Amino acid sequence: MIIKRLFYILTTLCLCFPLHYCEKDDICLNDNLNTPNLIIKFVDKENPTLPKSPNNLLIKALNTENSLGTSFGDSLALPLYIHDDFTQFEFILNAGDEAFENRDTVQINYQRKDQYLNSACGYRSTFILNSPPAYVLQSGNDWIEGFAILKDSITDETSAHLVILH
Amino acid sequence: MKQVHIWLFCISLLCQGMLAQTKSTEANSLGNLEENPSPQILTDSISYAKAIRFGTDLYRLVRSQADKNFQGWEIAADFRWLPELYIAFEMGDETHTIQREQINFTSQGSYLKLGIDYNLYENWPGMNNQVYLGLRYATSAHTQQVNRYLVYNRNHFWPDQETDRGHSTGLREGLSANWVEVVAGMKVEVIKNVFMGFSARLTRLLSDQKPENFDNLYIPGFNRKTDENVFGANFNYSLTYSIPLFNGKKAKVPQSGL
Repeated sequence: MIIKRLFYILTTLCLCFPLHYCEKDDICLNDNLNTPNLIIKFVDKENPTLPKSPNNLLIKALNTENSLGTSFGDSLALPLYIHDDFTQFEFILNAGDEAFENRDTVQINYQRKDQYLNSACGYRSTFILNSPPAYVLQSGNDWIEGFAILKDSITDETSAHLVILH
Repeated sequence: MKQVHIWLFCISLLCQGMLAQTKSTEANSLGNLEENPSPQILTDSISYAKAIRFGTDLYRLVRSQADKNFQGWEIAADFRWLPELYIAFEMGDETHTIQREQINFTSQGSYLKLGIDYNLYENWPGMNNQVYLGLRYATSAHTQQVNRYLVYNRNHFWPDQETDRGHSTGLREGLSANWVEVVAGMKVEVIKNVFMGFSARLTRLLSDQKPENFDNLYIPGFNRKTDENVFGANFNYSLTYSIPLFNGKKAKVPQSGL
């Protein structure tokens, strides 16, 4: 009788093995924590408390074919390249209008720090802005006047991290 | 070279078992002719003989040959303390490289399991098989190394590329875990003194020391650990060789003689 019961127990245990290997932590179900983008806010250089949208802005990342598109409001989210400690973007003001087009190449400098989430999602990256956080390469006739840090640790996208004065 | 030695060890165990069997049958037939002891006494003395069993886990040996991401061994021993109660012991070492959804890591370390097995199987005279339930307390000393990982990012603006050095890769040393196991298994005497066995174990983690900015996703001896709970499972296929410590026949002879 005991043997018979034991046989059932063992059979059940054997059947449990495949189930054991298909668990919830094989699928990343994470809606909250992601690798954050850099949130930039555009403000007026005369009055830094006043948001000011740049006219017909086009942003292109260097070293990639992908473009971030045009026509942003007074703030935007930039994806940072995680395999370097800097990312370069071309900020093109008055894009499409050849007479007034103004290209500024901006380099953003940061340090990356990876945070373990769980077994299915693995790691996400967070960043800390260097000082200076950003500068314009090949300056001369720049429409960007300066940068200021609002929050130097980039761990979420709830508020702006960097301000661009123009 | 190490693996060749392991196989030689297994084969020599088998051969010794066969030799022992042929010798003992000769001895039995002679004994029956000369002394003619009652068969009841003979079988009683054999089934109650204290013995110590040594052996190895076949699953880990075979897997070490077949799977290039796994290297491991386990030795098992038990001692028959009371007629149905055994003190059981397992010790092993594993190096396992695992590719998960985003992370590739190597878990390396050794473990020790100590506990009891209780035999529930009523043997016929002369048989010495076991169907048992058991308990173990186990502890491990291990390391976790993150080899490479893909950073989780729902925004695919930049091409996905694995991080294989720096950042959170690297070795986490000096880790440990403690757990208990409920064991269900059987051991069958295939040839005289040589046992083949299978055991399945349900485990519950008591405590584990978490590696820095990572987790014990696999613990040597415990097997895979999930995020959701503290339970796990593992198993072994054992091949063990029994060394009788007290010869049951000799112990009973003075009584029958009186």
